[in-house]
Amino acid sequence: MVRTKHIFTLICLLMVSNSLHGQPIWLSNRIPADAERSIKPAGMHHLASESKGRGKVKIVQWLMQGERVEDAAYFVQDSTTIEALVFAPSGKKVEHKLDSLNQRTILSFSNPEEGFYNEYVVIKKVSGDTLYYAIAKGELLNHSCRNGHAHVREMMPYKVYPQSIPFEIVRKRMVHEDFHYFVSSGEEISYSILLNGEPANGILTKLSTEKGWINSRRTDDSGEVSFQFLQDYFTPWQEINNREEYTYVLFAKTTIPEIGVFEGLPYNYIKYTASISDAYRPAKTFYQSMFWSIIVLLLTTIGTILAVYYYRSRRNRPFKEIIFDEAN
Amino acid sequence: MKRIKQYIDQANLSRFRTYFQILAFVVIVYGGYLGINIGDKTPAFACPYSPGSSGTCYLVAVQHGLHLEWSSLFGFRGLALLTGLGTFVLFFVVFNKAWCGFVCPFGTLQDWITKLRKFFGFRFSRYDEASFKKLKIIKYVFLVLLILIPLAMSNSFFGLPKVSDDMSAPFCQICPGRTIAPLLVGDTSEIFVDFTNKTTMVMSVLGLIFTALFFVGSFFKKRFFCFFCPMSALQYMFSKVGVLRLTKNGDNCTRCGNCSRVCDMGIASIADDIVSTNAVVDDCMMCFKCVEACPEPDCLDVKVFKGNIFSSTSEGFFKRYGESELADQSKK
Repeated sequence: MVRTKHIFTLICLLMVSNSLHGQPIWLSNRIPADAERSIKPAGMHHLASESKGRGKVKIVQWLMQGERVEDAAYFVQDSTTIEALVFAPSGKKVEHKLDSLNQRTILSFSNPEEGFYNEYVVIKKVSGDTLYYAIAKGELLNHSCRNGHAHVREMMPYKVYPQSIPFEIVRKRMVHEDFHYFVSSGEEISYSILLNGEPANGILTKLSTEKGWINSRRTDDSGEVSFQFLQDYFTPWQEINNREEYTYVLFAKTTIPEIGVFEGLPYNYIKYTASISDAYRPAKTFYQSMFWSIIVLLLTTIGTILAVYYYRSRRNRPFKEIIFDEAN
Repeated sequence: MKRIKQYIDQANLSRFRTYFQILAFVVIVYGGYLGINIGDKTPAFACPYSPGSSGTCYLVAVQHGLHLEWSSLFGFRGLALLTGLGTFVLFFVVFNKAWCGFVCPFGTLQDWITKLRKFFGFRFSRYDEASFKKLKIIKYVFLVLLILIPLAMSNSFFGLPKVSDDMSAPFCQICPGRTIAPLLVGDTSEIFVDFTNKTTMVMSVLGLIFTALFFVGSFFKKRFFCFFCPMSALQYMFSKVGVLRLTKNGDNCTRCGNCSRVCDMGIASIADDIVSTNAVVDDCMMCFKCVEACPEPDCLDVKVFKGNIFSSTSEGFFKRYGESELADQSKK
């Protein structure tokens, strides 16, 4: 019995340490079925939010682990050093809370500003001669059309914090992207992998989606990688939900030789694993048609022109003399 | 000063207006690419659906701002709405309804379509008095609906179910500006029929129908869409506090009817009403063609506060219209 208990403890420890070695972490916006009822998706980008009354809202994110999004597990906080950082759109650090609740690790913070919030959860642990440095990132857009669109262009560029986060993934903005943009299936999205603020080439990246498809690529010389999101929405027309969201996560990992000490333990290498999570929606081409719009435009134009012509021709009837035949 | 006033009164205001319209069109439609930002309380059609737009028309803010529960409407969010309305009014009062006649890019587009019609030699249409009175109500209907529908999305009226979120920004969904403004910068992404559900299908089809009607209607009727524009209705509510004014001195009016004949909107009261001093009505876009066409001195005046900046004069009338008549005669 004692031996079994020891073996069981060892397996648990291996699982925990394995969480850093082979199971990357990422932040999820998906609300668990048994979450508190006060947590609901809010806003245009359906961020999991908890209303605290009087307009105060807290964003809630769950820390997950696992490369396969569809069956990832919630990260359970243990003795590992874990910290969180949240940056407001203005670049200031935001007060946040990292809780362990119901066997889940939850990050929550208030988001009164408009724009992109960068949230990071960082776990560091030395094992052997390697420092395992895992970074889970979320880039959450807070926007309400009520607040207007005056400063959208200025707030679009992504922000990075290399002094706090040495390895991170950023999604490159599309050409005409604004606060109403959503990643859609079928689109090609580009990402930049930054090591100490500089683009890093040759980094292995893996895109994993809730629908189960996975793709791996390495970054090019400019530190960028692109993925074509598969057209994977094939719902019958009656069930189309253009606001349906599917989670996807992009992972990146690299090992660099660096000597240092962490919590009294020396290391010779740092193994970085970073993730960025987001959601994608069904492609607009699935439920929008330009062909039918041109038909409608043509029919309306031709119909209106004919109506005007008919109306005008009625008014332009040539004079017709009425001749009375007095004999009859 | 008298000579300057005389010079201005005899000037070709329509030509100045054409150049001003071109400038405003470029600034509003393409200004976004130059980093110009005129804000989101613009009293003209600056469409945010276009990537090049330098501003957003205030109707967008109204529709999104009213997507509120009653409790929020009478709280701080309601205060934000009032602040937005105040900003809009401050913008608006500077030019009064001349935002329509001089600045609005869709008004300018309609004027260019009118020039195209003249080039091809087609006769233009006018509404008769009965049709005019009935059709002018449509812009108020649009204004009321674009206020009520967002409220009905967040609140239940008389126990009825809330309106679907697919009706968000209802006027924007049917506005021809939403389809045309992106086209002007080469973006065809707003030309679509949305088959997601019946609501989106109907709204997107209506938007396309209004787009087609915008072009065809503007070809045959001057400033066709302005007659149905809810922005015009909203502006008229604050027209009386405008800095720029159009006044009429009925004592000097000889009822020649020139003003009504040249009016693109077909307003008859500018000629018929010799009692009211304020000549601006809800359909007026303050293009001041009536002032240019009035042959009677100081009958129609454009004022900034109480100072005349442009008045009708006999010399001005004959200079503007006499030249064109002579030119027509010489062509014959």
